[in-house]
Parts: sequence; structure tokens; C-alpha cells
Amino acid sequence: MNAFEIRGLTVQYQPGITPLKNLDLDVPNGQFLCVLGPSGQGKSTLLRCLAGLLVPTEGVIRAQGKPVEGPDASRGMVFQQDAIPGWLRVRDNVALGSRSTDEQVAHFIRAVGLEGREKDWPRQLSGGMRKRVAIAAVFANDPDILLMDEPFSSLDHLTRTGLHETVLQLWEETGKTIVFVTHDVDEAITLADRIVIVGRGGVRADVPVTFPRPRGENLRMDVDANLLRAALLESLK
Amino acid sequence: MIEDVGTRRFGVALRTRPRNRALLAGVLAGLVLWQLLSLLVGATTSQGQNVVPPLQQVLTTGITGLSHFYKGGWGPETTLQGAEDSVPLAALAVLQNSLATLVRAWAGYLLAVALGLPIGLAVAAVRPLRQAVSGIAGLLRMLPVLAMSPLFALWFGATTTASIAFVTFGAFWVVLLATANAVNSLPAPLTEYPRTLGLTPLQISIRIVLPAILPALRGALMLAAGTAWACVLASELYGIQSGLGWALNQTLLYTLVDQMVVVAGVFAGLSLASLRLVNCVTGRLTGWSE
Repeated sequence: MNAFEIRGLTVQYQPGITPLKNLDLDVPNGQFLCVLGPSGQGKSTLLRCLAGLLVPTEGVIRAQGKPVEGPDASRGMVFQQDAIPGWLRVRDNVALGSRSTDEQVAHFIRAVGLEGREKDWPRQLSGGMRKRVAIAAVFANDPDILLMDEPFSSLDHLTRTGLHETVLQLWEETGKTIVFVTHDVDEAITLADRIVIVGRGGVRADVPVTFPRPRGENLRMDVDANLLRAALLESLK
Repeated sequence: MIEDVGTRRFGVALRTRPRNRALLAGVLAGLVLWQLLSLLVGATTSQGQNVVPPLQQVLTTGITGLSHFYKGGWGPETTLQGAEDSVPLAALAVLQNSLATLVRAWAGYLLAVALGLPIGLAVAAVRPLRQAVSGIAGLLRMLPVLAMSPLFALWFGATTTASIAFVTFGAFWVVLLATANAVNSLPAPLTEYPRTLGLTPLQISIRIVLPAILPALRGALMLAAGTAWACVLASELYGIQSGLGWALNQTLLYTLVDQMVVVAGVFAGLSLASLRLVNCVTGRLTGWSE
């Protein structure tokens, strides 16, 4: 069974503004899929539809075989903006989800490197640490699928690299399906099993990424990786 | 040691609570000004009192004269039963009437908050309700709230219920409209994120929306407290036979300016203390945002 089966997905905000038109896509379970695309081409719209936060104009989305009819705990989401409640301390934030257990909360606080900061307020944390809280909260809630909407776009290079490692580590540990939206080609190559480029309403390119992990900085010197980067950048034009 | 001058200056610029010394200096300056005015203004009332009585008069007959506002029931005899004006009797009178006013103001205010918050949340969530309420609020905004006070006395009689109902009415709209506006100003991810974590709409309202709007609501809760105190004063002017508003009205009827000054001072002190309390409580509740 696929994590997602998307058929004929169309979203029209108003006549003339149709970011997604008749999009078909399957996402197998356990895959790390990166959705790449220029700004305003429907990446976040697609993710919001997958989360159930946006009702498509036409088409069907099935998650684990069931039609998506609204947001629920089986599809956790990490947002681009800071969305963690500022009035909950780190531990309470990670324990916010309806499915989270004390053991899971403690485990994922450790896993994202926030051990010892459980009693801190979010305002006492850096932007990167707040993202770690959001990631831990979503994993601790044990969803089947994780949706990540440009979660690291506002962070510096070093912080992003650290978070990439954390997300990959958690993904490998839990085997969850991840759909990760980004406009950064290097980020997509570093993280993904598969990259889908969304644009002009549909899927413009669908590319498997087979480089061995960990990929990191050495991928910058790899000829095949550079060829893929060039091809992806060409597809984005 | 490096000092963050920018932060320090900003901190000073934003300081809203005067230092105690500054407060004391302000009060002293006011008293001196009052004394000067009492010397300069020669006009008298029909009772022969100076319209700006000197401080020594305010602090003597102005205080002891309040004894006749003591209504009995707490041990000592009233002035109607033959007791002489005295400072202890005046203190009892102030305490008795202050308590009556405090109960009305706080009961009405807390009721307004208890009703305004959930209804404000509902109004923000349900579009037809929002439209209906904005229509009513628009209509009421054109009407000065205090002008409704006699109507409440007519509907509920000269009772504490009427006073509390009027205070609730006055403060309710402030809380309701501020709540609805604050909810509508929340960034969408703040409410979408808990939905993807499986929280129910009720859980989101209580655990997410309510705490999230508190910082924005803090000013409105202070404004509502101020409105509550204005309303309680107005409500005690019509028929009720107790409370600081009633006492103030009596001093006005008999042009007892020295007593009027004392009652007004007590009222101002209590309302200021109440506002400070609201500020303190809301400050503690929103400490996470500072």
C-alpha cells in the first residue's frame, strides 16, 4: 500500500490562479520524498492538501488507502513558520500531540538533542532549537506520514546541516514516510530518496536519488551529484 | 563589563509603572497644588463650604463627616442611633461602602470576562455570528454605555443585581470584541499545527487559542476593568443605598465638598488597585511572552 495516492488533484483559488491542475502522484511507504519547485508553483498547496488543511477543487487523495478528509494525527506537519506554542515549555510542547506517550516524548527530546532543555520556554531557544522542538513533537505523536513545509528555509547553513542529520537519523530509525517541500536543490539532493519537481500545475520531473548515505558535504565534489544538480536546476527554469 | 545601552534605554522608555518615589512626588505635588487652589479660589457652596476646601478641612471634617454613611450591623451604633462623628466610625463607613462597591465591580467584571472570552471565541469561529455581533456592537458603540445605567435600574430595581448586571454589560463588549479580534489576528499555523497533532477543536480553543490571545487581550482586560469601575459608579447613582457611588452622590446632593474629596480619593485608590491587580495577574499569565 502507498502512503499517498493522488489522482487528478486540482486546486483553483480563483479563476486564473490554479497552482495544481490534474496532478497524479504515488508515494510509497517509508520513502523520503522531496518536492522541489520555484516559489508560487504549488508545493505548499500540495502539502496542505496532503495534510487535509486544504480541500482540493477536484481530485482524490488517499493516505494509507483512506481518503483524506481533514487533518488528523496520522499525518504530522512541520511548518515553515514558527508554530510551536510559546506558552508551553519544551517538554509540554513535545507532548502536545494526542498520541504522544511519556516514553516517546523523552526519547525524541533526547533524539533531537534537547535533553536538559525540557523546562525552557521556546523564547529561550534559538530558531534551530525551536525547529527541533517541532520535529520532536511531530515524531513523538507517532504519525504514519510526516509533512515538512520548507522547515529550515530561515536557518543558517550550519544549523540546517545539523537538522538534516537529525531528520535523516529519525527517519532511518522510525521508517516513516516523509514528504519534504523545499526550493533548495542541494537540500533535496542531501535528503531525498526521490525528488519530484512541481510546476505549471503538475509534476514536471520525477527523479530517484540513489547516492549512498550519509551524503553531506562530499556530495558537492561528486560528478553524478553535480550532473543531477544541473539537471534539476534546468527543470526548475 | 559590557552594558546593553539600547536595551536599557528601551526598558526605561517602556516603563509604565512609575517608581514609588516618582509616585510619591506626584501625589505631594498634587496636594500642594490643591492647597494653593484652596487659597486662591474663594467661591463657596450654598452650605458655606469652600468649593476647594483646604487640606486640613478634608483631613478632619472631610473624614469624620463620613460617619453618617455607616449603616450599622457591624457592632457600633450609627449616627442616626445617636453616635457622634468619629474617625473609627468613618473608617467603618468607608469599609462598608467600599466592600459593597468592590463586590459589584469585581462580580460584574469577572462575569464579563467569563462570558466575553468563550462568546468571543465562538464569534471568531462562526462567520454568521461574527456578522451579527459586529452589527449589534456597531449599534451599541454609538450609545454611551453609562447612559444605559438608569435603564438597568428600571429593569432590575435599585439592587446589587442591577449594578452587577450593568457592570457586566459595560465590560462584556470590551472583552468580547477584543477576544474576537485577537483570535482573527492569530497566524494560521498556530491553529493548523495542533490540528495535525490530532487535537480536537475544544482542546485547540482551550490549550492553544486562549493562551495565544492573552498577550493581545491584556490591554483589553485592563480597559474592561476601567470600564467596570466607571459602570459601578454610574450604577450606584440610581436608587441604591450603599456603595461609594451612592456616598459620592450624597455628598454632591448636600454639597459636602470635603467629604466628596475623601470618597473620590477612596474610589480612585480602589479602582487603581484593581487595575494593578488585573495587570499583575495577566502579566503572570503572559510571562512566557516577555
